[in-house]
Amino acid sequence: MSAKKNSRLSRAVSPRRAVQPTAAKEVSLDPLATQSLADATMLLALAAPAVRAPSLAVKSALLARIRATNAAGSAGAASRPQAADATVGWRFEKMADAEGWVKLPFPGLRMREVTVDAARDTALLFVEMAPGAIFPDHDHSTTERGVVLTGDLRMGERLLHAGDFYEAAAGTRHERIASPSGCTGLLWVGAKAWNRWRDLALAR
Amino acid sequence: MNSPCMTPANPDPDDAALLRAVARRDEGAFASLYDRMSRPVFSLIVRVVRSRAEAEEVLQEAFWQIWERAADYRAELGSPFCWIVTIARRKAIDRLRTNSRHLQRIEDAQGARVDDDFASPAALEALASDERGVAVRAALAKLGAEERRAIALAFFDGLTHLEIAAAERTPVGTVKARIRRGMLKLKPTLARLGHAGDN
Repeated sequence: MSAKKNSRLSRAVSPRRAVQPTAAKEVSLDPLATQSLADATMLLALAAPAVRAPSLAVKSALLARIRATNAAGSAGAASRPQAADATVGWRFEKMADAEGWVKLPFPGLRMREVTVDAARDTALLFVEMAPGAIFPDHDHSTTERGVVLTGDLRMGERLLHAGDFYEAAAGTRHERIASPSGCTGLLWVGAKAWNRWRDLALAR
Repeated sequence: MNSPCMTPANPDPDDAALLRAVARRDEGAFASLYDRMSRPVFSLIVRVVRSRAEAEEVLQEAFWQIWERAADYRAELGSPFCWIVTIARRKAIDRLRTNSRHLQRIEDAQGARVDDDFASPAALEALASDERGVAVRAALAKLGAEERRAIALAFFDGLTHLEIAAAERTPVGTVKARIRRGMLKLKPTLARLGHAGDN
């Protein structure tokens, strides 16, 4: 949508342009209309025209994700007895744990989910690249941040070492990333982007 | 209170049991719940986002949240289907509002390019998900066109009352009155179907 159109529509929904200047305040003070709509949610949903069933890939991806999560959870519980006894609210992850890794469709590259916050669209991942592994060109739909924990990582002319950090803003393009001698790292990406990578990998 | 929320077809008292099993991380129960609920939920999402491909992404996000949050479900909040629809609709509308795409809906409404797709239940009967869908469509069709449009813009397009007022070029108080009046007219149908779902 053009900036001009956006601006025009923004003005159209502005309280100043509405027929009743104080309308915005009134909207939140009408519990009956809101509650009625909430009560009837399900039945109004049934009025939606029926469409063909979703593709089987949706269910398959969900079940694959559940299995991956369950596997990571049981392996974690078995290998971290002390963590289970820790104070509620604490959680520990070991990168050395073997379970839960997802092999991406690029040789020598795997990632493991550490934590995902869907509401904020962020995912924190462990990443491991084997010596010579390459992550091809890609665009960033959300901001990506990374820290090299061990080894080295080549981004264009720049070589990152253990302890180095990078940030790539949404909309930027990442040239091919390579790890000449292998590396591990922490990666912050958008949760949706991670879901797409993971589903792509699990579907293979 | 008899909640109008119930299973869309063949009401089954085991829906809540399935959801409890999902809360215990029972993968089989989750698969059954998905099989039972995904079709009508998907139809709703497609209607909101108007793209099958995008609707499949939203459906996956919604059911993943159901898997992760099943323990939060409380029967007093409504039936499992009601709870699931609430999650799915929220995610679909969030998707719609991403990049302000809902503004296009407002512009469509301003240009009278919105199809009144609930006005003719007979023509669309074959498309409805089940007999309850037909009943709800029939009840919607009996509303005044302005009431039906306001309710559809709120529910299926996720517009706020203020945005509907801008789209319809009418005072927000009038929009609220149309929605309230329309919902009051729908309530007998909703209550009847809700009672049926309780059995």
